[in-house]
Amino acid sequence: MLDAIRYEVVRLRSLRSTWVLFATGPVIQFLFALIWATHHDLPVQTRFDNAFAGLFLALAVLPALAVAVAAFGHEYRYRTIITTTLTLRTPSRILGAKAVVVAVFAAASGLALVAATLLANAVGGDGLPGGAVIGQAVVGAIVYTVLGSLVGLGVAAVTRNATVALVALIAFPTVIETLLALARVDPAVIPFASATRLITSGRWTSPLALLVLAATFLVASWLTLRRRDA
Amino acid sequence: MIVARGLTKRYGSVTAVDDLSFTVQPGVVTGFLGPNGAGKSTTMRLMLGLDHGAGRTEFDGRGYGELAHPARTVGVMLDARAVHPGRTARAHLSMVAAGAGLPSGRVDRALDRVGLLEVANRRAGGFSLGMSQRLGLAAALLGDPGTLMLDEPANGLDPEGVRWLRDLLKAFAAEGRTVFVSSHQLNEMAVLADALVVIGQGRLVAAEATNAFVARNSRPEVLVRASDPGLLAHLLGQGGLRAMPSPDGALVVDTHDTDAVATIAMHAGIVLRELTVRHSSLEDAFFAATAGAAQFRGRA
Repeated sequence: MLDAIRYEVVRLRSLRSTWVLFATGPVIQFLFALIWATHHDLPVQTRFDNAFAGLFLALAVLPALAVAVAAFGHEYRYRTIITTTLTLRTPSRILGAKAVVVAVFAAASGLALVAATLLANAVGGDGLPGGAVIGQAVVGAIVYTVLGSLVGLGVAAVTRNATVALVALIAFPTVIETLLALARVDPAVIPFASATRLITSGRWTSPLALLVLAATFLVASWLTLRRRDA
Repeated sequence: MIVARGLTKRYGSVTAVDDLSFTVQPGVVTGFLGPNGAGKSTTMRLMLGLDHGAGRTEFDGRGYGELAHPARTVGVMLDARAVHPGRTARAHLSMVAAGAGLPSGRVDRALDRVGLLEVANRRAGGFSLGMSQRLGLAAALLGDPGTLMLDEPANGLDPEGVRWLRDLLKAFAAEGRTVFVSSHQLNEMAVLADALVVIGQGRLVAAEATNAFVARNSRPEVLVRASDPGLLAHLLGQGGLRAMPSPDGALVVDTHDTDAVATIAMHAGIVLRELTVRHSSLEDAFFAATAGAAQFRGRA
C-alpha cells in the first residue's frame, strides 16, 4: 500500500495544475474574506464566520475538489488507468491510495483556506477572532474539504468523466441543495450546507450527511473498479 | 514463458475473443498477428487482467495479479499515448517506479536506453508518436522484466527506430527472456518474429514457428517465361498443372516442380527464358491464413 501511496503522491505533485489549483482556492477565499473583513460594523467573529458562509466556501473549495476529481477523471481521459491498474493492480490499492493522498491534499487546502481568511482579516480588518474560533474553523474547513474531495473522487470514479463529476460538484451544493432547502428538507441531511456549519457552530454531527455521501460514493467507486474493465 | 488458456471475452452477444489458448516460449520473439478487429488488444488486456473475461494466463506459472513484483516480471506497453500530456517523461517513469517499488535510479537508465534522456524533462504532450512509443517502452523496461508484452511498439517509429527496436527485442529474447509483440507491420514481423500467434475473429488461426506458418499457408508457384506462353499453358494444363498468365506475359504455374515444367517445355520445343520457384512472403501467408477472418477489408 505504501508503494501505491508513493505512486499517487508522484502522480499528484508532478502536474503543474495541482499547484495552480492549490493556490487558487486560498486566493478566492482571501478575496471573499477581505470583503467581509472591511465590514467594520460587524463583530470580528461574524466577519470571520461569514467568509465561510455556504456559497463562498463552495466556490473556494472548488479548486481542491477539481484536483480530487482529476485523480480519477484524468486517468480515464488520458487512459493512464491502464498504467495505474497494471502498477497498483487491485481496486482496493488504487482507490485506497487515491483516497489517502486526496484527503491529505484536501486537508492542506482546508488549512490554507483558513490561513487566507486570517490574512484577509489581518489586512482589511481590525483584529482576529480568538484561538477557539480559529481552531473550530480549521477543523471545520479541513473536514468539509476532505469529505467534499472524497465525494469528488468517488463521483469521478463512478462516472469516469471529469467534466460530469465537476459539474455535479458545482451543481449539488449550489443548485440542488438550494432547492432542497427551499423544499424545507431537514438541514441536517443536506450534505454540503450542513457540513459548513461545523466551521462556525461546532456541532460535531453536522458533517454526518456529507460523510455518508462520501462513504457511499467511495463504496460505489470500489464496486465500479471491480466490475468494469480498466 | 507465457501460457494462455481458454481466454474468452464477450461484449453482449458479440464474442471478441473465443476460447483462445497458446504458449509463448522464452528465448524467441513471438509475433501476435491478426486483422483489424481480430481481438489482439483485447486478448492482451485479458491476459493482464485489465478486462474481465474467462480464461487464465500465467507468466512463469503465475497470473499477473499473483505476481509478487509485476514490473520486475512483465514489462507491458499497450497504449503508448496513455500518458498525461502535462507530465514530463521523467515524472511519468518516476511515478511508475514509485508504484512498482523500483529504485528511482532506474528511471534515467530506462530513458537513456530508449534515447529519451535528453528530453526527460519535456512534457509528454509535446512528444511525437515515435517518442511516446519510446517512453512506453522505457516504462516496460523499467523493472528489467523477464517478459515483455508490447502492442504495436513499432507504430510511429522512424526506420532507424524500427531497426533499433528490432535489435532491442532480439537481444532481449537472446538473453532467454520472453517477448510477445503484436504488430500490423507484416514485413517487419517477418524479420523480427521467430514464432507467431495468429488470430482471426477472436479465434486461434495458428501458433507455430514463423517459417512453418509461411510454409503451411503458401501456395507453391513457379514463374515461367517462355517463347510461346499460350502453347505452354495448354500443354501444362494437359499435364495436370494449372498455369495462369500474368500481366507481364509470364506464366504462374501452381507447382513447385520446376523439372516437370521444363520437361513439358522441352518436349514441345518451347524455349524457356526464366523458370523460378516463387516463395511466398509472410504477408501472402497471413492473407491466406486469415482470408475468412478479416472483419474490415476495403476495395482497391
